[in-house]
Amino acid sequence: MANNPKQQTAVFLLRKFATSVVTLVGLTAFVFFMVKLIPGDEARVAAGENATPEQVEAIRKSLGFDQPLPVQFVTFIGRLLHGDLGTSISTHMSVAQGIQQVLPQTIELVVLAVIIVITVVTPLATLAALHRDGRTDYTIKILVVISAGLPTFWLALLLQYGLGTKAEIFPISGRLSRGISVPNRTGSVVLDSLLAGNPMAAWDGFQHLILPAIVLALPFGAQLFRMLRAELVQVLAREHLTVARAKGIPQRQLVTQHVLPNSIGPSITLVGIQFGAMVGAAVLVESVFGLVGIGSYLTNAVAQKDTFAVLGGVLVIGVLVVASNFVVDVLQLIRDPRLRAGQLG
Amino acid sequence: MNTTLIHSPKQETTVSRPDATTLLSVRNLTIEAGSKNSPLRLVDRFSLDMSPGDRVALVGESGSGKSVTARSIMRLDPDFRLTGSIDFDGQDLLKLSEKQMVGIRGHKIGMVFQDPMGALNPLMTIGDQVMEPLRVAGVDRAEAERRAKSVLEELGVANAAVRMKAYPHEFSGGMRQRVVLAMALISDPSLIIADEPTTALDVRVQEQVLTLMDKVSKERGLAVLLITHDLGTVAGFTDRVAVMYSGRKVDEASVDTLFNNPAHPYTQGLLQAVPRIDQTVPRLLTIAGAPPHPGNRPTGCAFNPRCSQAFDLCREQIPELRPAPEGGMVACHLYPAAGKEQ
Repeated sequence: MANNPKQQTAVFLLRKFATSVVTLVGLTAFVFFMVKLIPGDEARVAAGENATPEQVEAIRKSLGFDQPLPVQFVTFIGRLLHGDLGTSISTHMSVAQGIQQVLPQTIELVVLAVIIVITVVTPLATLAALHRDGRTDYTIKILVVISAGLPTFWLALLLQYGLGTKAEIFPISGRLSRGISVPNRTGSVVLDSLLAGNPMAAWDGFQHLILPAIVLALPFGAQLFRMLRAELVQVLAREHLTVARAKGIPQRQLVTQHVLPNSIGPSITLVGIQFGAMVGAAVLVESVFGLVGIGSYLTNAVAQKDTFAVLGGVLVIGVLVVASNFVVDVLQLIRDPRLRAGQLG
Repeated sequence: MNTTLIHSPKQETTVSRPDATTLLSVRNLTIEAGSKNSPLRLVDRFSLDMSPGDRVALVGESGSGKSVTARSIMRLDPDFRLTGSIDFDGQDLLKLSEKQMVGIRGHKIGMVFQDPMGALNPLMTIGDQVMEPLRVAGVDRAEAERRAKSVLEELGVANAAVRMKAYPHEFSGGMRQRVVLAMALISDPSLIIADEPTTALDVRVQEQVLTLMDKVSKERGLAVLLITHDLGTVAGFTDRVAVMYSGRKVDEASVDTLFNNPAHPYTQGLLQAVPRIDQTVPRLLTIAGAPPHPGNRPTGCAFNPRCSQAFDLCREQIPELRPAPEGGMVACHLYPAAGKEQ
């Protein structure tokens, strides 16, 4: 094995990358056969409602759906390696293009939700852990349990009514206010507005995201809160903290230098997992707030038995999940020298 | 003065009286844990004086309150209720705010702990951890690095500049204890509290660390309060020994007196349990029984159920500290009036 740290890091990254590829291939195979299990005839969908049985058969043949499943799978993988996700059989649009239009909007929403989760939960969990079993701790815990227990759609309506209709602080639904439009370049409304030199539009787009992001963030935030608080409580009881206190380290530094860095390991992993889960959970939130996203794209595709659209959507989400796991692994390495020694040595 | 007054509520006394050169003067330190309604008295009216450069050992079994006392001098456990006074360097530590206490900890009083494995932050480099007390005090990085390197070298860490970039898991137990000692010494404190600093180490490493502490404290004129259950450690290292039993100081004497003419039956028992090179005994004796739980102390002297010389009075009244016949102080009814006035 390589000896210098740079080579070791390269080897580690390569190994992680290889694992990711294997995961993605497995995921592709699994989803491919699952989609084929969905009842309904793809050729029928592709041919349209008024097609004759002969036309349907012709289309079946042209799309290759008459071939045995393993052959279809190999053909699909072959195209995939060339970056071709295929054409949607219901909209006759390129799947890649279709996804490009909706995915960045979901990512915007999810990233904002993740930021909300982290920035709200970290101080709350720290406060709760520092005042463990005290009044502050109980108050925060009760609030967290309540907010986690609220059904998403009900909470969404509540926020729309309270902060939207009544207080008029945030827009109720949609992606941009009427009359504002930005040219599509990245697919992300906020980014596109900034690229177009239109900060007002970016701000408007951002405001439209806040309520949905809060709704999306709440259940995940509650999950993270519980994990981070538990970990903080454990770390707070560790001997090296007493030692650090005995060294004369003020409370604030104690928390930022010795408690938080030592507690966030499991939380980083959890947020990585949550990122993928949020992309899935965004479907419901997007539909309540009248947004488009990868969720609505997939829901339609499954309903239509649009094989390539489903496969494309799931694969893209798979790549996101694998990528976020990769980022998590790297972050853990940066955080913990013992892991570095174990993994890279 | 009437020395037959046995259960006096008066202050406990110590061997050396506080004077102008007193560095640390603990007076009637009482430590309680648990709720206010059912408090658990961990330490009862503990007093101790130390002059600059003094080396005192605080000895006792687990649960005797010695560690709790040491930690409480630094006010490390916010849940404990402390009463009495801890005069250090002219101010009562118990009257300071937590913020002021932060300025005392590590800067004026250093502390060394039992378990060097758990004592260091696994995610921070050795150098950063040794420098930290200086950095929080506003010393710039270059200067802090220079001083960290010099104190690590003083403590026998070879190649200190390079080793400062390493992480705790790359250090052995003995090396980590040197790092812990370096963290305690870097701000140049006048007192070090060492809470069982060698207990978790191999015998050979114990010896090294003790020798090192001995050397460094002598060179720097440091006062050391050594907390230990190991009388063997005490013999070569300290001038004076205070023995604690069940939350109270029961015996205090110079090392010579304590080893050759131990006054308290508990101290006698402890000494019989220590293997000695200069004496041959058929077998080591042990003290039967175990120390009582702080919430369940017997009436009278806490040691009476385990004491071979206990008599009626021992089961009725708590003995106060009085001057012992061979010098020092002892809290035992066997020495009702040692001839000297209290």
